[in-house]
Amino acid sequence: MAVLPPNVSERNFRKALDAFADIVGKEWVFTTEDELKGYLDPFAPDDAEKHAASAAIAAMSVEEIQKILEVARHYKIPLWTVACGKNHGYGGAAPRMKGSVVLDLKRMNKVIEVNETLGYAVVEPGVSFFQLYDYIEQHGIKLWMSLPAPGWGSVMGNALDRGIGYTPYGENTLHVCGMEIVLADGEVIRTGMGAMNDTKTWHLYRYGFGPSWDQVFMQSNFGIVTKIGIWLMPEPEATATASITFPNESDLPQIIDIARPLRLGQTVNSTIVVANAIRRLASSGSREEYFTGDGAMPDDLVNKIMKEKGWNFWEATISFFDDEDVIDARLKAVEKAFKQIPGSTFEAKRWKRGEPIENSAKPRPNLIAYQVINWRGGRGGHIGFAPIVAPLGSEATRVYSLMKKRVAQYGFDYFGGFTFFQRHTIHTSLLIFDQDDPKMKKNAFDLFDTVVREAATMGFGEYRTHVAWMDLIASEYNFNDNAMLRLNERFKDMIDPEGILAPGKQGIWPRSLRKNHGGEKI
Amino acid sequence: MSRLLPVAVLGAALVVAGASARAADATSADASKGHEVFKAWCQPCHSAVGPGTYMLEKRLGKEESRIDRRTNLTGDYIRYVVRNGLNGMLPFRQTEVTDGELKDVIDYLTRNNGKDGGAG
Repeated sequence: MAVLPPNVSERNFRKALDAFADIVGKEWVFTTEDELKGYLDPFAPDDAEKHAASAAIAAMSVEEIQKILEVARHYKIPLWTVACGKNHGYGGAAPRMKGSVVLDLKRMNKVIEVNETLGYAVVEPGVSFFQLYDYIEQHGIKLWMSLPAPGWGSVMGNALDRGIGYTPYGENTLHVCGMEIVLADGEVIRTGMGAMNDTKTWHLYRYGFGPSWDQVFMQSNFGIVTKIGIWLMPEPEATATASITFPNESDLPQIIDIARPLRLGQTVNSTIVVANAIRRLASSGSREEYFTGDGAMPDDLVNKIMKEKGWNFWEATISFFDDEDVIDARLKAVEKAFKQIPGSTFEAKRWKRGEPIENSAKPRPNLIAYQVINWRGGRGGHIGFAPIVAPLGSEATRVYSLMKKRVAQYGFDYFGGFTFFQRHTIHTSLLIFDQDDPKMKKNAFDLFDTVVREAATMGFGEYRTHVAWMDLIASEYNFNDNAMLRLNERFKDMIDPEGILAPGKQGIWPRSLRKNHGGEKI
Repeated sequence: MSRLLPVAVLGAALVVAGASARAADATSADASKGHEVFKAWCQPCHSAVGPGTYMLEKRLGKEESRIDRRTNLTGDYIRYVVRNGLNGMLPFRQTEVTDGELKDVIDYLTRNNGKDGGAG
């Protein structure tokens, strides 16, 4: 065995693997180096072996998961659950703690229901955005999905990690309604209205009676989610996608301050993306086409490229989904609001039902976003710096100035902008590096580590992170001496006393591993 | 085995592929199943505008950029790249592409090997 789970003897580990094979079949227990390659983080910002799995097992059903848990409890085997394993930039299918056994749920890939009348789908963990999209298309269902950038990710996994999309349903986590969860002791629960037998309302009302639990099982290690309901948007009569550009870097605070009332009042009811020119450049080419020198691309070169391409510095993209006349009114208000910024441009691409769907703002899953990881050449890797920022021009400027200064210091280009929701923005900035350039890779790691720490002192907390930084970021949520983390730990010890579920996820360690993190800390 | 074969070795595998590959029947059942696997798992990156095609064009030129039109890919090479990744391409787990599906997609991608005019 190349890697063992912490505090588990090789003898016991082998016994556990045999028991797992009895449950799922030996062809679904993976232990060799070759078989486990796909469970290493392909974009690791440090040594991928730091998060190497000891084995992986692929369950097909709730019953198999219950049996696996029984074995794991007996031998104290840590299980790291993945759905499609495509959480790229955050660790992919790799566990937080080295030696964990990955519980791979990709084979649980049933679309259980898509209810067109009530506008929801019920899916298992292994259902990807591609798969659900195809199901909806093949059945002629008039519902549209909220999609993140990569289409092969899990509908469930993305929502549980609070991933995002670009429609009015763009906060995917908000549209989860009703979950089925297997607890560490094997008990199966259903949340919200699902706690009641024989109801048609499980996926319509989130809360049920008494405390609401859905969010407790998101970004956590308190249970294994095996089904979710997720709301889907009825096909609109028409769409429009507006592209609004702004000439100057210094326009940022005004863009944010103008966008805020539009989002708060829901004149704009979908996600606004504000991106800089390099983000646009990286979507269609690689850096060496423009610059081969050391360090960040000089501002004057970026300005020259923008001029040649006829681009402005910032571009805001907003999609609208509504009746035609409502879209007319929304576009008019948005155009008028942003016109206040001198030199801004406004264009809108319209679509109405009956026209070719390719011209619409309908989200269609793809993998085009992976183009950006080729920006620095070689085997691309990336980490996302994504703190939550108040939708105030002054706050956006603070975090942008910090990031712009630090990326240049470490030899990177500022690639990013702001993703704007109803009452918050996420400053989204990618650090793209060549994995085969050790110096660049180390600089990316050090830059991320530095900027996350510095941002926290300024009041900016990450909304989601790579497995390598879960402890750091959990520690930055530090009100009252990290009272929230301590509550999570108390709950962890109560609901998973053997500490078998995803130790260390989101910085939450079980009692048995809390002190040394499975041997990581001496 | 090292995690990544040197690119030069992979290049050599490509050169000999045309001579050693069997002449697969493009209409065989396995190639047809393989086409479905290709559409599900490969095409999103290896379509006309996908990032895989873009990178291959940069590395090998336009003629070699569409893997579904190549006539010089070998089964061993495809198997290695699918399970290990290559440059920007990520490895695929057996829960995503099973060994049986991998065999089917190999049949599909090598269906025109040894045939004249197979390259697109």
